[in-house]
Amino acid sequence: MVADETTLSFEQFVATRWAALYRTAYLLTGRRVDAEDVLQTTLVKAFASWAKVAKAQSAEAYVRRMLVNDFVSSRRGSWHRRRADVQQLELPVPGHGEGVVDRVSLWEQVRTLPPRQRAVIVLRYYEDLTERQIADTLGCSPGTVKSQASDALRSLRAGLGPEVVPEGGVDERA
Amino acid sequence: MNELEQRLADDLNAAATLADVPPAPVTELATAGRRQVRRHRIVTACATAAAVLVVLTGVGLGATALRADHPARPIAPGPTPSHHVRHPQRQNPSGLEDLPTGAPPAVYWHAGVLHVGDISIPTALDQIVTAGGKVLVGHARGADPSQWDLVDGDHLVPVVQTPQAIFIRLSPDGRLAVWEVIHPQVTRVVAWDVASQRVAGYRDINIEQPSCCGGGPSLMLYGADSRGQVFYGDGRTLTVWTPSTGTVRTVTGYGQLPALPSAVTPFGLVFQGDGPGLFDMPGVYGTVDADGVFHRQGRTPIDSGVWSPDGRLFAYPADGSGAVDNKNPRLTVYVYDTSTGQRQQLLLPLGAGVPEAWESPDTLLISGGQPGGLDQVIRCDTTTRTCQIAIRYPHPRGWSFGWF
Repeated sequence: MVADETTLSFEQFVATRWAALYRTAYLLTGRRVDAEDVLQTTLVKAFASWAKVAKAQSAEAYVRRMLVNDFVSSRRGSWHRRRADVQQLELPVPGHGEGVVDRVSLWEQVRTLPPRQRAVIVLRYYEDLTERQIADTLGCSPGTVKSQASDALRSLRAGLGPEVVPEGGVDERA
Repeated sequence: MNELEQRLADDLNAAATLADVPPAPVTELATAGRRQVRRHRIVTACATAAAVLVVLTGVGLGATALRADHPARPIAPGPTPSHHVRHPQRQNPSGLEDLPTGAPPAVYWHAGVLHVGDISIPTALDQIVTAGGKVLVGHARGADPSQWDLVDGDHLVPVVQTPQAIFIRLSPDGRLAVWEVIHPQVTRVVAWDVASQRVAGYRDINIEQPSCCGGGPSLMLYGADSRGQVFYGDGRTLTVWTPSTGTVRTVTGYGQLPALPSAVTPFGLVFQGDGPGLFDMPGVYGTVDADGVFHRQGRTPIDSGVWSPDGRLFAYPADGSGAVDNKNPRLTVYVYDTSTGQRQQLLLPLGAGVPEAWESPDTLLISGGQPGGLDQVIRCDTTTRTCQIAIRYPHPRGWSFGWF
């Protein structure tokens, strides 16, 4: 995290945080082109209200919240159509998993989840946010986060098929 | 964290690490952001004009076109006038039928024709600029050559002809017209003195205007205030130029506010302040002194609205409580008095009302009617909050803005 974000200009912010935000956008959307689209849309909006963004306790957290909500909004109602397009999702980057693990990548499964569940999973297991922080980001209750996470994990577990992953309690970091 | 969760974290991190991050388009984003800000402001500002366009057969231009017997008042906000009478007991009329009918505005546009007294000038609504009793008419479409004329009595005075389309801004008192002409390596900002009908001065700014979507800074001409100050900037630096003295200063003193003023007011600038929403945030208004220092004077409920010619009153569309919230339709009109800090709802019938322009320092012209079809031009006396119909059109057009 940049030490003194409140003094950041928009240009400085984008220059320093673009890569991190892009990775989050990529995990959310599953496609490079979509990641760029949603991130650019979010950052243009952030520019329009930069006075407010720059004053936030964490400009990055504020923009990430905008990003996730832009992603969820943009996918609202179109998940079923996009799910049908899942075969068109980009293949794993060459080398990903090579010689490291001989198993199904959960990343592939995550990309088939509905947008809101995917957002919960990315925020929780990539951004390492707590349930409450995710709830704040998505503008919902911690209970909703919990149920979305449970549903997502259940889907992921089922999607692994014969590769058995033991049932276990959901980590309740809060 | 169980095994599945640990695998999830590992796989997501691996995918993120291997994601091919493209270069950060810093300049392009800033440029797009500036365009969006400008577009949002234009949309807000044009809401009124377009709302009147909605009216199919014509529209009262709401011209600030002003009666000559209402000379501009001192530009700085002053004390509340003694005749400022409030009528808290008065209720909104229940329908347009309840409003009395008054005389049409001195200047109005109808069915593609601008009417100025007895003169009729065919032109598009977006090619008319009025302020301080002055009317400028343009003749340009798209990238065609542009010609602008000043309506002077019963004839037209040529102002400028250029090989490219330009748009002219008038200072709120109608004394100074400004425009920019873009050349490949330089942008020329021109100030034209309306009274003497001569060029008051020009500035060549060495900045390249991107033709479309490329990077690089772009010059934005914000306009001129009634003090004869011209404001322009590139999004990073804001400049004030006074053609009468030739002074050019960088505007300072607006602190953390972005160097993107929302509008030029009669007495200076208004910036977008901090607020709860992404858009429609409060305005922070103030004056700019001879050294270019911005002096805050106060805040308005929203940064985009219609300032009275004397800079005392600020009219804006709001919901029934006077608030400005993206989530609530803004169907009524409030007037914020900068000298007292009070805001008052104008007594419009239920329906939709959009402030258009000030006819005099106390008289506001509003497009009114039902949501989805504004078919009235309504004149409101802000001292009594009472309104009357100035123009009524029979057939509202069937489209409307998203927030109606």
